[in-house]
Amino acid sequence: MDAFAALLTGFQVALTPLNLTVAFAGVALGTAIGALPGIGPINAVALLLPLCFALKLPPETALILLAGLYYGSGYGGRISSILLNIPGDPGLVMTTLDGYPLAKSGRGAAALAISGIGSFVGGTSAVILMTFLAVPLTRLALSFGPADYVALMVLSFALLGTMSEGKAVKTWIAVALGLLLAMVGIDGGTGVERFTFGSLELLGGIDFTSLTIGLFAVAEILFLAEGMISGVVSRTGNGARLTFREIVYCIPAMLRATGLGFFLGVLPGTGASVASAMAYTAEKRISDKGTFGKGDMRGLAAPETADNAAQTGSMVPMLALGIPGSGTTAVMLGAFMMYSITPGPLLFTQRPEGAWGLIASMYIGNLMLPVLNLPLGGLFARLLTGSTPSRTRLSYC
Amino acid sequence: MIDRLVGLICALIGAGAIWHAQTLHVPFAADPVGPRVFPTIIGGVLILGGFILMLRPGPVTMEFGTWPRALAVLVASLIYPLLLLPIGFIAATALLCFVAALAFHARPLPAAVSAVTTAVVFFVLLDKMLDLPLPRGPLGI
Repeated sequence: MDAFAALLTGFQVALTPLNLTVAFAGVALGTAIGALPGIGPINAVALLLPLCFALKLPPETALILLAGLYYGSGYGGRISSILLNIPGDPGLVMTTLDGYPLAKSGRGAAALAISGIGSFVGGTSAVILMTFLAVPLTRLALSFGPADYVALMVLSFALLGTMSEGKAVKTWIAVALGLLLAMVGIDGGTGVERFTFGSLELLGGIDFTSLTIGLFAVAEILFLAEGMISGVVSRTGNGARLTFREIVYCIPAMLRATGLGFFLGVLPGTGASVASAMAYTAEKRISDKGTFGKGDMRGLAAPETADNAAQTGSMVPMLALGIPGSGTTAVMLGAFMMYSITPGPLLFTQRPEGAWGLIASMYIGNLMLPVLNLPLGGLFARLLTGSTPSRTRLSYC
Repeated sequence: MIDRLVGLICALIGAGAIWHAQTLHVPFAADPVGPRVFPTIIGGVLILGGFILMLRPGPVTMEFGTWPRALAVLVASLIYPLLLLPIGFIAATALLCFVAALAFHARPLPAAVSAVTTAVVFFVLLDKMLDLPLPRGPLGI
């Protein structure tokens, strides 16, 4: 099987001392960034991008760092969601629903443990799926014409509309506004200026990174300034530790969430936030007996698993088709462009060491994360329960 | 109420997009569809969505915190780019950070110290280390 052979070459790239260090730095930084409310992976990747270039990191090393940051943030975010009831980014709102009640009832440590296991299961299974699906997907992508790409995007948007329960109209409005913003600049087909209003700066279009920082970071700052985010601190607690039976009890939920999360991650436009919301609602429909929302382990494991599976899944279309699967991967596309690498079907044949090195590093990173998170969970928890001003000032920078 | 307002604004943006699209002229048809069709379709979706939202608004609960603080940060962020060229990166950034720190309940003196430090650190980081030239301002620093 050539996927195995390719993966082995990938490990040769990922296991060099520099790339190992960078992968570790990426996941550690990602955990920290996920744990601190207000920064979020999308802003962190955007901030690190010029740094990678300035440090003259080789392309595959830079990608390993940025990807590590991205999937590492999925691990860190659960800490503030569970202990403080503060979701660090939209994908973590569902984690608070059952995580915070668990922490309030004194089982914070057990909640952190089961969500950590969920993150690991989701992340690792998604990398395995990615290993075997990436290349077949690129073969499919080679036969993709413009019409097929349009059809794929329309499918994603339509699914997005049906998934946001009861708010389909708003989803469509948001999609239309986004497309309108993307149209600003010179039309690729005819060279006509659209929506530039005579401004030279708008000729090149609106930069996606700037737009997302404005949308997510500024909104977060204003929200914090208003004092709308306030959590009652709960301790990790001295309640019963996580039992083996509880882990087994959660396994079906985790497996369902992995499949759902990975699939939604692969679809362009639907990222971790949709995946975790879908996984929670699905799990609630399947196994709720009135305990969901009051601290059910499965209600915590499902969204957390889906969140991590979707993050990894959203890297598949970015690598194989050149279409970002989520906001953060769209920013990461910028990193490829900076190194003049064109992501897409030819990436795996022209730059196999980069693509497979990245995938191999994700195996390693997903092993590092639980090891890193077990001892550091307490540290982050203490950092988070510190005074609010220091935290908000940190987020503002 | 909020939904009705949002719907109205979206419908107006959609109408504006369609109107703007009709002013686009291509001297010769290099592209069978032309630059007009796509914005017109998207504008149509916006108008339709806006009207649906206006006619059937959902319940939206608005919660206001201490909104003057958020407003102060917002105004400071809007003035910031206008000040960048006239007074330079360091002064403008220090001012922005100072206002923001005050809005986040910092006391004046620590706020001023941390604002100036932040501005200088970012200047050194971006201008000196990352070679991204920043506006210097009248002092030339």
